[in-house]
Amino acid sequence: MRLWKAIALLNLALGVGLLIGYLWWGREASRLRQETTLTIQAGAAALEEREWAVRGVVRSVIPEINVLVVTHEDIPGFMPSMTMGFRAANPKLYAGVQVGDLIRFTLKGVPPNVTIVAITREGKS
Amino acid sequence: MSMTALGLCARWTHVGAGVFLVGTFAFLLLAGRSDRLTVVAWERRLTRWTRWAAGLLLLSGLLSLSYQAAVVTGRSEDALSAATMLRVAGATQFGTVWLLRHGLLLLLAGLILLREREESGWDWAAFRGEGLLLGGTGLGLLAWAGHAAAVEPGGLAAAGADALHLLAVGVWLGGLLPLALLLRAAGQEVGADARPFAVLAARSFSQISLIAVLAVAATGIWNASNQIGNVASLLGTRYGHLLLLKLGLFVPILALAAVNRLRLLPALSGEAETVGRPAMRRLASFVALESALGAAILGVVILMSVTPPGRHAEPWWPLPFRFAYPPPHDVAGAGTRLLVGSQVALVGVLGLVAGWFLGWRRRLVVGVAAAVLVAGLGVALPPLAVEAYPTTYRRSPIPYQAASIADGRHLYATHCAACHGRTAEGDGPDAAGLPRKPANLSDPHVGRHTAGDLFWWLTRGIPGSGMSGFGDRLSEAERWDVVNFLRTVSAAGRARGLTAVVEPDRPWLVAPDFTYAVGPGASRSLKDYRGRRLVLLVLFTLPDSRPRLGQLARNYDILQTMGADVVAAPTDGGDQIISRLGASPRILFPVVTDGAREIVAAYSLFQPAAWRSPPTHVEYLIDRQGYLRARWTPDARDWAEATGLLAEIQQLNQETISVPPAEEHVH
Amino acid sequence: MSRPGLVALALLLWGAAWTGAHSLLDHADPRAASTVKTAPAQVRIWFTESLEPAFSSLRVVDEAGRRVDKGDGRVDPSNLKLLRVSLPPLPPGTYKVTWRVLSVDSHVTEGDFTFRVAP
Ligand code: HEC
Repeated sequence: MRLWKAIALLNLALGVGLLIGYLWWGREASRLRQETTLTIQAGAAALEEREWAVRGVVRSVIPEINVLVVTHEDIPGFMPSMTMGFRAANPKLYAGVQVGDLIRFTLKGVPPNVTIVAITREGKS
Repeated sequence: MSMTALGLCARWTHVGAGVFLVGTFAFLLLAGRSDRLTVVAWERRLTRWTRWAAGLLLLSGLLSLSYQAAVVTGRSEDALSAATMLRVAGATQFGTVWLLRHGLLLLLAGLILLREREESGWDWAAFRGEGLLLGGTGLGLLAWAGHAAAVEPGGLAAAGADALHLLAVGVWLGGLLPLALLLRAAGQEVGADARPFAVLAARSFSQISLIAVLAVAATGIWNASNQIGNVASLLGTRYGHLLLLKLGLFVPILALAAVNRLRLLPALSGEAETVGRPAMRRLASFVALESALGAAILGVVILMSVTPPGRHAEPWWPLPFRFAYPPPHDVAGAGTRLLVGSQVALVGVLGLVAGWFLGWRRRLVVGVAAAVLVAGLGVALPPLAVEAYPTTYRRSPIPYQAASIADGRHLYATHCAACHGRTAEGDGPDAAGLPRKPANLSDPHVGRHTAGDLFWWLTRGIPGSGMSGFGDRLSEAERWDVVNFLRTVSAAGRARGLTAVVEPDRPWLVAPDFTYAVGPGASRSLKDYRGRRLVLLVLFTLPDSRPRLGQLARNYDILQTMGADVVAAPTDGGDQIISRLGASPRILFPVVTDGAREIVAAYSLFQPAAWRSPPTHVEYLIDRQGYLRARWTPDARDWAEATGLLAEIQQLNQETISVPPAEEHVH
Repeated sequence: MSRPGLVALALLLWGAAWTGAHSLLDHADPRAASTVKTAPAQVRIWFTESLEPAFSSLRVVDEAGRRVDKGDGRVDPSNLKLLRVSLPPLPPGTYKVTWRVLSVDSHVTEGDFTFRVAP
């Protein structure tokens, strides 16, 4: 074969390779993006019941609606650290709990419907 | 050590061989075909050299990868570990670039080794063109494995410019050796048949290399501004020194090139015996010298590639002065002198340009213009010159944060207050017996010194003033803490004008960053709010602040809706503060339990008379860019009703100006 | 050896005597040399340049040199300039954070700092 033809073929192959690489890269990027959103959604909307032990400080007790507002640490796979109200499974759980109490509580349920099922007091903050 | 030397040698060989290949193929294309015997012999010789270069290129490439494997893991035995090399190749950007490049370089080597006889003009051009294409791409891609790859933002532009730089260097520097060989062959008596070919080739190379050198200079300046950024880094870092060395080698090359172009090139076609051949031989040796200097430059470049770029290194200022505008100390008439001097200097510059182009009495005009320029600078610059120290341009390694300021405040009280006074106004008890009056550190001029200046004085003292250095008593980090504190004090002096009314579109007071936590919650920083939300920082004391906190709590919803968050820090440190606040009013905004002491120590400085009586209640409004914009104390009426506060927040929400976000480092 | 060769070799040897620090620590949480009241749930270090996840790591050890982190120290996938590791609830004491990172411009930096959890 003539040299220049071989070289033309080589460049053609390189060009096609470049194109394929570019397309693959684009697809990979969008796949990754999709995957992250999926994992985030999956984390939030997993349909099975889960349970967490969480530490927090009590900011408010609202017996009328059976809610405890706590500033809590990160809850892995559910939500980052924030100030948030949680329903208690029954009013007896928070009898004697006061604003400023440092508590360790157990959250149970199918996200986002979770309730506090146990509370232990650890100190004051 | 020997390992590093070997690795760097490998890289140098690699880049050198790549440059040679690119330049040779470009030169062969440029010179064109010829069947003169001397030219054919020259080409054959070059072809042999390209085989060697391709082999060296691949071998040194492999060595570079193995060196990188050892660098990455920090174990020299990993230089021989195939597994580590594979991991480096497969899982790092360096590796990806390496694989891509060596794929292309393998093709190039194959092309050079397997070349058949060229039968037609098409073959001839295709072979050389392909060599240039593969070699050039292989060389240019190097940019993505070097410093340029880490530039952010604008990494693509930086790497692109670097790639262009490499390519232009390849075409120009790499073409010098083939040119020198050709000229030497044609300069001999037996090579006379190649003389016309050589003259033409030298002329066209001269054109192309002029363009290439201009491209090298332009992209080089761009690269340098990316990697160095300012004069301090150029004169004061190792990277900057290497760049100066590189430029120092570049200047003689340019001088040689100018002589070649202006003197020797026109002489080439002169009478063979007396003018043409000697000129050709001299040109050959000058070109060879140029390429030797070029090889030395490549060595410097390799060193630069393993040196932290100037923008990341701490500069060590070599001069005893610097120019500052405005100067930290007001010099009488500096403004006028600057104005007059700069105009005179401008006349000088215009005269220089005009003299150069006019050609009429050039020497005289240029001489006078230069004198005018110097005189103008002599008038304008001296008032701007201020004393400078080796650390003048050091940046504080410790961010401008409340915790650092609080530490600095504490250190100030123990080490400096005796002279500079408890309130930093230069009126301490020990001030009287000193040769000079201690400086008033709450004066705004202190803020106009660089952080590095303050650091130097703290370390070495101020000769003849009675202030000794603290280098042996305070650690380096402690000295920077004090510098951060001094910056706050000087800013606080200016902050006296701060009121509860936001000055529209005029952020100027940087809010020190702070970190806080509420109970076991994750710690947050002021910086986390950057670009998103306004922050109302409330320093409070129980029980006096209780009504105000209740008012803020009732309005917390609407504050949040308007994009503002509240962070409340107790002035008494915050032991069990949430319990002490109790159930009513119901307060749900962050009440700092961890970090309050530092926040209060730093931010109370921004309150007038804070030194004498610590504040009981003060509120600061911090904008989205991290600037303190308003301050409220209960004795002012403005925010007593929530609507007053909301109006200021609304004002900040409406601002459209974009100032650069506040810096966490002191400059 | 030729003159340029010698010059280059001298330069290389001079250069070989020092190594560079490239991706620099920007800031860390907890702050270097700081004292925190509540034991942090994680250590985060921000760098000035993007890191290579495959060759960047950090570890936390206690005073006795025992490793205390959860062993998941790595580059944050959504921020290549952030290195993080999670911690179990730490008892009061002084802890040392050691990091070694490879930045995308192919240079290695290492360093350490300590922080204290107050009793
Ligand atoms: C023994 C007394 C003394 C002590 C202690 C002292 N200084 Fe000074 N300092 C001085 C005097 C006197 C000057 C004025 C020097 C001059 O005018 O040239 C000065 C000048 C300065 C300046 C230069 C201000 C300017 O704008 O020129 C700074 C900054 C400074 N001191 C900071 C400190 C700090 C921070 C400390 C504590 C770590 C400290 N000094 C401790 C006596 C002292």
